[in-house]
Formats: sequence, structure tokens, C-alpha cells
Amino acid sequence: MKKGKLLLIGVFFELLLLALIVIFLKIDNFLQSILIFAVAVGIWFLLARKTRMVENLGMAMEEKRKELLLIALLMVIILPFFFLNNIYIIHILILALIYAIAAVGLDFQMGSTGMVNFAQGTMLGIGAYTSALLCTTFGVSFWIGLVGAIIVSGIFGVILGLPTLKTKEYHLSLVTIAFAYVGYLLILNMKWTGGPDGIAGIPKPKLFGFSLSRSIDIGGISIPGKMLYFYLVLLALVLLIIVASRLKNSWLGLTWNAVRDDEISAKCYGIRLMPYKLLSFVFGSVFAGIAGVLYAHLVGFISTESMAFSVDLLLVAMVILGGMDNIAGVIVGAILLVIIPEKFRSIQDFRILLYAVTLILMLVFRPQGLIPKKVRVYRNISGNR
Amino acid sequence: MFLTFLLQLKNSIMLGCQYSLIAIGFTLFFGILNVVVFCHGDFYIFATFAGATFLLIFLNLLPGIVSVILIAVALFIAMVLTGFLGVVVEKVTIKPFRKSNPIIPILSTLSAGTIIEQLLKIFYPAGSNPQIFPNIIPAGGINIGEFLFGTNEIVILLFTIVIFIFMYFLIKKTKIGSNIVAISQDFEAASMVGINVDRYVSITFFIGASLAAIAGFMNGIYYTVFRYDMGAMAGIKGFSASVVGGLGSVFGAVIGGFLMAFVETFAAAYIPGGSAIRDVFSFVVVLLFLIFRPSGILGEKIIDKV
Repeated sequence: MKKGKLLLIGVFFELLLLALIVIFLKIDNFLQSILIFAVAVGIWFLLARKTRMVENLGMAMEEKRKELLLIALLMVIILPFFFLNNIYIIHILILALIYAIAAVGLDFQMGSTGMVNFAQGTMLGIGAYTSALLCTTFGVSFWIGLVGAIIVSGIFGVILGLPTLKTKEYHLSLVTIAFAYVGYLLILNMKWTGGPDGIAGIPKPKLFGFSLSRSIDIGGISIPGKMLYFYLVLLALVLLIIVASRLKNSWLGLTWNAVRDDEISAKCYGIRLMPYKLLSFVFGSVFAGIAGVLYAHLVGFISTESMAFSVDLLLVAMVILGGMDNIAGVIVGAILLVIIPEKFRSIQDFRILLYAVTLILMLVFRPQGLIPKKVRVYRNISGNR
Repeated sequence: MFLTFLLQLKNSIMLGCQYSLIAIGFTLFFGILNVVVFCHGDFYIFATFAGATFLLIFLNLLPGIVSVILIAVALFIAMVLTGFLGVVVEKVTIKPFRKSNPIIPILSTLSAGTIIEQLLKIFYPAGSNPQIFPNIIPAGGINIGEFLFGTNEIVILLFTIVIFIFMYFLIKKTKIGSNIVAISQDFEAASMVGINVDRYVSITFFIGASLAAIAGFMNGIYYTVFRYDMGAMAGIKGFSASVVGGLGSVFGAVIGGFLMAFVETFAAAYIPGGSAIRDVFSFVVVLLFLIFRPSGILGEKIIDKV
């Protein structure tokens, strides 16, 4: 197949995806959004059936990886321009990207190293509280708050990671659940964290003198501050994706996978489990911390509500839905699980029920996730296969 | 001073009865299938709802019946329903994943629990509000000096002891028990010598879930107020108790359950400001156990097998 045609196929699918997302978000009508949802599911099933299509698409993704990723990035950049008159949808898009950051972080543990972690939402909360406290009590800027949150969440990552050296599987999941509850209860009951009232009045970040809370005019078009915030979060996500993919494609990622596939044989080959498991927790927690900071400064208010156990479960569901150990999959899972329920607000009561049913259906019928992980490709040093 | 101590002791024993009944379920499931059933706490709260519903129905339909019979019948129905719920949950969310990565059953049972919880919230009348358990056991009790032992407390304590003795005989002296022990020792060898493994797994889930049902019913009788989301915490406490006692050991689960209850109650009573963060203390105990003695009080040492 010609290379140009491959690129065309890839671009076609990306445009289709963009169109579906835009239409889905534009529609207010409940029935219509269900219709669009059904169309998307139908397309996905068709793809899964027609193996040749999938093959071509897969080939396109491999051969023209850089170009397609660039085009995808461009599409995400223009995405908020479709919703200039509806700030709320931009808000949801930002939330989706923030959760994507935390889910990519969670994937270091769940996907790469094979350790369940139910405390990622708590880590998000720790990051958010750190930055919020720094900014409201000491009046420092967003950026110093961000650095502080990275340090603090990294330290908590070590604290959470230490018991994992002795435990695995069910015991490990209990450790993380206990950590999540202890963190939640302590923050809820301490005075200096605001207790159940939370912390309000977290300032919006400033960048080169621009405050991201006010809109600016460029050539007659008024760009709302939310949109600038969207680009800030997008920038963070892209940078962190690069970090994550570099980590996963390095010897570190390979070691993590060896630990996941068989701990004992990894040990026999001379891999020390401790530093690698700890690193996986530290990286994951730092990602969650960054996501938390972005969340706190987006909403301007933080309470224990945003680090409840349901958030932990939601993040786990994102990783499972998208596909473990695959960054693209995890991001798709995060975006789907934020955007789709927002549109189905009229069935708000059934939301959590639907999450759980989806998760079970995914586990039974497609345990590898929507976008499964590809087999690792080894390259020699010169970059050729 | 001594009186408060006695009161706290009584409270912790009441709580310990519930925790150990839940923990026995965890330990049975883990023993037989090497899975941790994260929706066990939702079996518990399901039983509270079922028991309350049937008690209300009976009270409306047949007023004037002796309360002991009513309670017995409602408890029996709640146990059977919850038992079948346990069997169904095993068939749907655990059986398909017997050979897969242990992450998968953790997630599938967690979501099963969420489904049960949400169904209770959505479909039970006014399900998102706290419910009131029909107060059917006569007030009063035995006074020892200033210390009052209420009727409901006596009922709960005696009943738990009966259940413990029953479980002991079930596991040690009956064919069902010996088959369950055989399966938990070696799943494949047990099926080779002709034990119908699937059937005994179902039986185990029935027993475990109905034990949780008893705990749920006790929760209703003792605290009289319950809500759809109480199951998650009860489940995590029960799981912690079984881990502290040693996963796989029934006697350990009982000890673990009472230990957890003691820590929680006394920390809440004697540490200033402790009542709001009472759960923190019990989780810290669990974390300490997991770090320093992961096999629990009575568990066998965990040895990695290739």
C-alpha cells in the first residue's frame, strides 16, 4: 500500500473521530446524543469486524506515526473553537484532559507494573490541597504551588509505595484502599485543611502577565480565559505524555513489564524489585499531583469531595476501559468516561450504575480494553528495527 | 470510669460480632478460590434492606404475631436471598476470570458491589435517604448494677455464638465442610477425586453471603438506622479483619474481627477527637499488620511459588 494512501486513511479516521466528538458535545437533546453515541459504537464495531480496515489503520498508525499524532494534536488545539459560545463544554474538555493526566499516571502502576492502586484519586487530592494551601495561605503563585505539589505528592508516592514491597495482589489493594480512606478522613477532619468546607478562592494562574481568568481579544475574537486554561492543561498533558512514553519505551518500562509478567523470574534475572516498584508509584503520584493542581486552580475550590473513593474507582475504570499499558488507550478511556456521562445528565442517578455495568461488560468481553497494547517493538541503537 | 469501660467493651463486642461474621465470608471465599470478593459488604447491606422490607411487610400483614417468629422468618428470607445473590455474583463476576490476572476479579467484584449499591439506592423507595429498621425487639434487658445489657444485645451475642459453633461443626464434621477444605487445599486435585467443584464453590458462596446477611440483619437490629452506602465500609472492615486474622483461617477471621472492633471502639472513646477519625486507627492497624506480618495472626506464611 502506498504511503500517501495510508496517511489519508489515518487522517480520515481522525477527522471522523473529531466530527463525532464535536457533534456529540454540540447536541443538547438527550435522544440525539444517544443516537450519536450509537453511531460511534456502530462504527467501532464495524471496525472491529472488518479486519482489513483495522490492519490498514494499524499500518497507518505505525508508518505515519509522527504525522498522524501531529494532526491529532492540531485537532485537539482547534477543538475549543467549536464551543466559543459555551464555556461549560470547554470546562468539561479541560476536566477530561486533567483526568487523562491522572489516568496516565495510574497506568504506571496498573498497566506497566501490574499493581492495583485505589489511591490515585487521593494522590490527586493531595496535590490539589498542597497547591491550594500554598496559594491561599502563603500567597505564592501557581507555579510555586505546582512545584510544591509535585514534591509533596512524590513524597506521598514513596510512603504509599513502601508497603508494596512486602505485599502484592489483594493485600496490596487493601493497602491502597486503606491509604485512600486514611487520607480522606484525615483531610476531612483536620482544621488547617478547611475540613468539610474545603478551601475556596484558589487563584487562577498567571502567565507572562496574562491572567488565565480573563478573556483576551485577538483580532476581534474574544478568547475566554477558560480556553487559555485549556491550552495550559493540554501543554501539560502533551509534555507528560512524552515523559510517559519515553519512560515506557526505556529500560525502565521494560523492567516494569518484567516485574508485572513474573516477579520471581524478574528477581532471578537480578532485577531489584524495590526501586522499580517505588519508582512506578512515585511517577504515578507525581502525575496525579500535577492533575490535582490543575484541577484545583481550574475550579478555584477544593474539598474532600474531589478525592472520594469514587474518584479512585473512576480512574481505575478509565485505565481498564482504554487499555492497560497503552497511553493512547488510557487517554481515550479518560476522555470517554468524562464526556459521555456529562451529556447524559438527565439520567444522573444511573451514572455510577452505568460505570459499573460498563466495567463488568468490558472485563467480560474485551479485557484488553478499547485500544489494546501493541507488542513491544525492539529497536537497535541506530533507531532501525 | 469502669462503667464507661464496660460500655465500650460491650459496644466493641457488638461490632466485633458483625465484623467477624463478614470476615468469615472473606476468608471462606479466599480459601476456596483465592479471590477477594470486594462486594461482600454489599451483600451485608443488601441483607439489611431485605430484612427490613420483609419485617415491614410481615408487621403490616400479620399484626400481633410473636416477634421472635417474625424475626426468625425475616432473617431466614434475608439469608436465602443474599445467599443466592452471592451465588449469582460468583457465576457472573468471578467464574469467567478464574485463570486471569488477579486484578480482574478485584475490579469485577468491586463493580458488582457498586451495581448492588446503586440498585438499592435507585429502586428502593426513598433509597438515597437513611432507612429505619423496624424496632421489633422489646426494649429492656438485664440490669447488672448500673450496667444494662439490652435484649437486642443479648440476642445478637447469643446468636453469633450459635453461628460460630455451627460453622465449626460445618467445617470440621460434615461432608460439605471437608469437601470445601479439600478444594481450598488443592483445587485441581479435589476435582480429580470427584468433588463437584463448581457446586461446592456455589455452596461456599451461599454460606459466606448468608453469614454477611446475618451481620447485616444484626446491624439493623442494633443501630436501627441504615443507608445504601454503608456496605462499602463494612466490607473493607471485614476484609481488613480477615487479613489481620490471616486470610484463609476461619478462627483467625473471628479474632481479627474482634480486634478491629476493639481498636476502633476504644480509639474513638479514649483518644481525644478520635471519634471523627475512628476508622483511621483501624486502618493504621491494618497497614502495620500488612507491613510487619502480612500473613496475619493465624495465617500460614505466604511463600512465593513459581
